[in-house]
Amino acid sequence: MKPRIINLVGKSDQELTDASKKFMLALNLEEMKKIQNHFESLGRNPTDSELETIAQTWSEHCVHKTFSGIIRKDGKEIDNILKTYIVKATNELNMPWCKCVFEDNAGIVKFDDQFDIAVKAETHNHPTALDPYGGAGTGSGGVFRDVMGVGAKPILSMDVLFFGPPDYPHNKLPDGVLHPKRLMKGSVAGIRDYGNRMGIPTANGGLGFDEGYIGNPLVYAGVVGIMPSNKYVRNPKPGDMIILVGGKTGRDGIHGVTFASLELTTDSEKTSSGAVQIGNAIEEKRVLDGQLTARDKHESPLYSAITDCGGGGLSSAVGEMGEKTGVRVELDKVPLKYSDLEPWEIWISEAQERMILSVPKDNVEEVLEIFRNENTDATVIGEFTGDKRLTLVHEEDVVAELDMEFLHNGVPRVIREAKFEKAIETDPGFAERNEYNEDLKRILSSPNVASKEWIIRQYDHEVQAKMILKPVQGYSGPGDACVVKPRNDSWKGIVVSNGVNSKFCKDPYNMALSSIDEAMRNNVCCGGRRIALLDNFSWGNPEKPDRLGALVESVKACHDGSIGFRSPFISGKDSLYNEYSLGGNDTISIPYTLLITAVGIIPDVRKAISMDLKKEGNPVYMVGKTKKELGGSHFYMVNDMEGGKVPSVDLSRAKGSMDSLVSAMDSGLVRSCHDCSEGGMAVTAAEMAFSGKLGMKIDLKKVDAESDEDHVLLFSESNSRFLVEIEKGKERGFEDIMGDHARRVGEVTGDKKLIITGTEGDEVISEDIEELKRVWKETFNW
Amino acid sequence: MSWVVGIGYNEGVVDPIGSNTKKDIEDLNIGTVRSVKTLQTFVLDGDVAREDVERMSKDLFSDSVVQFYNFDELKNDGSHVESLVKDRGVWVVEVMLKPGVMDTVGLSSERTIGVMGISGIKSVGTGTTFVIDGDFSEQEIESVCRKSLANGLIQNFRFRRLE
Repeated sequence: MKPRIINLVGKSDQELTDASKKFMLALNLEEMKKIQNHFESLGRNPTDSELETIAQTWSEHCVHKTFSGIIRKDGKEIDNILKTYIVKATNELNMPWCKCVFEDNAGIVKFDDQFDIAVKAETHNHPTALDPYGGAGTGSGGVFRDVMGVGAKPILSMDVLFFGPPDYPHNKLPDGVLHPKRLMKGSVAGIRDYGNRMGIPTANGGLGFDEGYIGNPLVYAGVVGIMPSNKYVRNPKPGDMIILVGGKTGRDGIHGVTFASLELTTDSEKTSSGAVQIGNAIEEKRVLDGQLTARDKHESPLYSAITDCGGGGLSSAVGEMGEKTGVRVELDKVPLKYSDLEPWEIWISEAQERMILSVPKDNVEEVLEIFRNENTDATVIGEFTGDKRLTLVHEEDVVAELDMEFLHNGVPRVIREAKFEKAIETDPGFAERNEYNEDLKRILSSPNVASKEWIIRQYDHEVQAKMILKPVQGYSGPGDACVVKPRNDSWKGIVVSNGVNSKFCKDPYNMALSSIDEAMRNNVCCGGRRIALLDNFSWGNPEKPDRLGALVESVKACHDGSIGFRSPFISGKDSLYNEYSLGGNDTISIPYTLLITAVGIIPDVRKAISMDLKKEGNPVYMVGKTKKELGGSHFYMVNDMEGGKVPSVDLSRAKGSMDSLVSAMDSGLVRSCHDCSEGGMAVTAAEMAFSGKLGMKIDLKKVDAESDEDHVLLFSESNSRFLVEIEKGKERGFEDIMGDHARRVGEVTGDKKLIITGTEGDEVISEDIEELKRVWKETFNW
Repeated sequence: MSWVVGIGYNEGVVDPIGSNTKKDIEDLNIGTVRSVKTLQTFVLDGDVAREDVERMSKDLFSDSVVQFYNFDELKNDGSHVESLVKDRGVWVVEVMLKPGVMDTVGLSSERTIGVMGISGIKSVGTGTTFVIDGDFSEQEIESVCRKSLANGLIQNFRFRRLE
């Protein structure tokens, strides 16, 4: 097919802007002018395929313009916030167990002397807003392919979801927006079907609700994979063939990447059908099986490089793999679902379940045979050349010929303005009550805290038979982290947890630190250590200075938290432009949301600790200090109160207390452990009690605190705190290890009541644990 | 000749999609819903003999222990649902994927039909037929379709009243 020429040379600024809009390129004027100049110097106009390729490669989704751009803030210029803060911390820490950080599809750390762990988390927000089942399912499918794209086998899937309030009135919903309950049911079903069908356990996750997510839900999908350390290859050579394996290519998800760089409008529901992708988990399973055979059949893999087709389709996958060499692709070789696709559509289609392998010529037949045996397509579509150019051919016509240097390094750097003003803290003031039973029950039944068992039980978390600590612990208890034992011949395990605190987003620095602390806490609760972190920013439009200012604050916190905990970031992702337009200039940003994923190891999974109380008479200790930090807390939320100080992290003490706690676990002193997070210590105590079918007595006078107000001691969400049950008789040993990090605050009782006495000595909470469990469980019983 | 096959659950067998759909409709606060049953629907496009449709319905699409099947020629006005659904005094909503949207169940059905040695099938499309017993006006049932049963981005729907 003869390529269509797009006339850019000699066009006015307005015409360039119009062209970007007309072809849905999401390129700004400066970028369009750069392209215009480039082609002017070549003495010709670009073809549609060339223009589409550049738009994909230069999209926010692919090059992270904001994170790698120049940001002007407070009269200073920050050159690349990712490198200036997050990567800098990783480089400073320089941990020998980090194998591959911020380079490939997934971060890779050492597991043991023979195996490595590959981890990735990313968002799939916009597709989920349009079709929750397909969008969330392909979010899982896409992130699985990311670890497959470094040669690892997925062993654990995790999902963190944010929606508008589930009881939001239908008549208040803006046009074109699906109801939160429908979004949530659809997303859960999509994640469930993809993971279950592929045989990957979904064993960790989270769920949050806020009105700010009404028009723009968030779906984070994450994955942990395992791979032999000597099987990581990424070295395509000139002469190697490009093999496309997996699903056929259709019009799926065309412009998904550039779509992600636009704000959703009321028309999105109708005009963006191209962005919808439907998953086929069985196809991806076939691809995975073939890929593992190609990896393991001989001493070294049959391929010289492997990557997945994700955002941007072949354009991104092949384009990035061939950046150093050059590639020539014959688009008419690509197997199609239907025949009427234009060459550029084939090139940028985001059809799912496809991987790209670079294979030396001598191995091509063997690789094709392997995938044939798995009943999936494998097709040679081109080769790596050595001319450092991207050449696309369709039925013998050259439809694109681009210089790799221009394609990958030609994008003009953005310069963005950022400003941040810390919100003024006002203490709303609160008159103490005589008792807080009702407050506790209202927090327990609020959607963020309530039992997620209805969802968790839909996910298969047992498949592959590697799960040691599962998402549901004790009698329906909410586990802090999950522990997976990847090898049959070793007791060593991987501990995976998440932390996110978008309710604290008015103070983005402390919001980010709190998320890191929470992810660390959850990991430590189960016995994790040597923890690596992943960041995942979901933000509003970075072209608006206040949004960007807040982003810079939270990125700084990632640096400080990483250094403070001595935990390097190994991978990350950002999804910006999460704003919803109601027409006109009125746009709503989501609450700034930073998901931190923590991946630790545990030398012996038999020493992993769950959160349910174990035995009557055991003493209960509290680790960490309680401060009056109720800003963004659930206590204020259920009481319709605003203001207050958002929790901060004392980095000089947090790391020490967590290290001590882990060594107490290793010494066999700890029987159960649960962190204090949403809802504060009272919620932690209730959850530990009803999950163990045991009672607990706590004396607030004994709590290490900067306040003597009962509601603060019960419900403040101060960071770095845990409730810990110790084996009776081992108190001395525990106190010796913990020093001033822990104080004895109560004990496990056999009467099935949670009794908390206040600073005046009266019972401020006294409730039957079955009643607490009932209100906690009844919220999600859809 | 093209055909439509509907697979439903026998009396007394739990229809989880049906009962969940009932809850979803109740959440909308539109009309009154008494019960929802579902049929998994297969549209066999091509030129297929009746005996072959019978064989596919019995051996491939349905589980004879807990499910029943009905089929009829595909009629453009949707009147084939009168044969697929035996209930009367109900609303029947057919939801099908739009052309071009990947239909994974349809694709694997096509593969298996090939294995069964049946020829003449051009494509298999899948969807769900909802049998809704309840009080709704035509406008209300359309609103239920839009808000809950079908996603207009990837699915087409049509409804009719069976008296």
